[in-house]
Amino acid sequence: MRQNLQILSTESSKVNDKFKFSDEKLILRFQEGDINAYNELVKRYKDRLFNFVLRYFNNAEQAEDVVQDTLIKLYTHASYYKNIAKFSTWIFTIAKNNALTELRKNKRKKTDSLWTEDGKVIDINSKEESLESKVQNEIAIDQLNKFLDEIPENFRMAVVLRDFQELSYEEISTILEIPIGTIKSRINRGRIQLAQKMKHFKE
Amino acid sequence: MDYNKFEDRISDWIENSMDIKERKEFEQFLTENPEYQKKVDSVRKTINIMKTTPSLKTSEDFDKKLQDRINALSENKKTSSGIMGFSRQNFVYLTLSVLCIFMLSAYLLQPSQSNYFIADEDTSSKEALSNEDETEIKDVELLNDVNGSFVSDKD
Repeated sequence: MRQNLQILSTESSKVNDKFKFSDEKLILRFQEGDINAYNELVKRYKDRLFNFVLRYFNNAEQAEDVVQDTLIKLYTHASYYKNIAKFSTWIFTIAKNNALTELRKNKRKKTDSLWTEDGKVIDINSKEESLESKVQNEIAIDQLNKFLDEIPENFRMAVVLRDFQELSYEEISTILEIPIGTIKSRINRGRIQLAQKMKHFKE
Repeated sequence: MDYNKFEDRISDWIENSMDIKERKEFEQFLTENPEYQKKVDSVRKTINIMKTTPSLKTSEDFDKKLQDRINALSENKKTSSGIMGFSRQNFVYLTLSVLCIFMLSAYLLQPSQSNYFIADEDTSSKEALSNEDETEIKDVELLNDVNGSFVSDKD
């Protein structure tokens, strides 16, 4: 009995260890052949990449395909990662390049709004909120996402990486291959444009 | 500070990434132009909405699709793993190289080629022989001349 508990404890600590590993540690473990490390990276990044790539397409299916391509590239080209830059910078760069390649191949498909209840329900955290503020919050988020689509793409991607993905200016500069000063300016301009649209919407 | 500079610095002020001097200058401008405070507030509110927007999730079958693609990749790798340890491409190049070497060797070592060499040797030796004959003949003629003179003297 004690032995079983010990085994269980070892197994669970192994599982928990995965959560303690940094992304950089995980990719190094995957390079050494640990497939569980790859699975953990997929778990950590699939939704983040999806939300990022979605801003290029406004089409969930296309965005998912691009994310799949990105994760396949991670699987086949893991050896290309060198521990110089952060893993997030590397994977987002691959995702961006894949998205741009896909955009060049196919024009951006316009579909019905993703932000309706048709198949893609926004997963609102169930916090202690009044119904009114909850509805207002939903509407605000819904409108914000629509307005994001209306601002220029170069502003939009910079804002998404900063305010949705919470990456640093240096990382964003590396991913988008644009100088930091330009990144800061685009983020500022993008935010101001969004704020103006939100203001007009409320009025 | 003018309006353009103020607008350019809104994000820096919200993110608290200004130095003390710049911050004072910015806040001074806001104090003198309270109508612009609303602009700063609306930008800050928009940033908060973005940061609190729940992220969308991938579809339920995303993981399965990914696994299927990885399995297909592994299958492809096994079937095209190559011949005798070489990849298909490398095997083709190797085969072509061996064939070229073989054909070149065969061309150089073929019998007609060796006869040509021998014939040349014969020709040169025949030439050498004929030269020798000529010399011998000349020598004989010389001797005859000499003998002839002896004979005439006797007479």
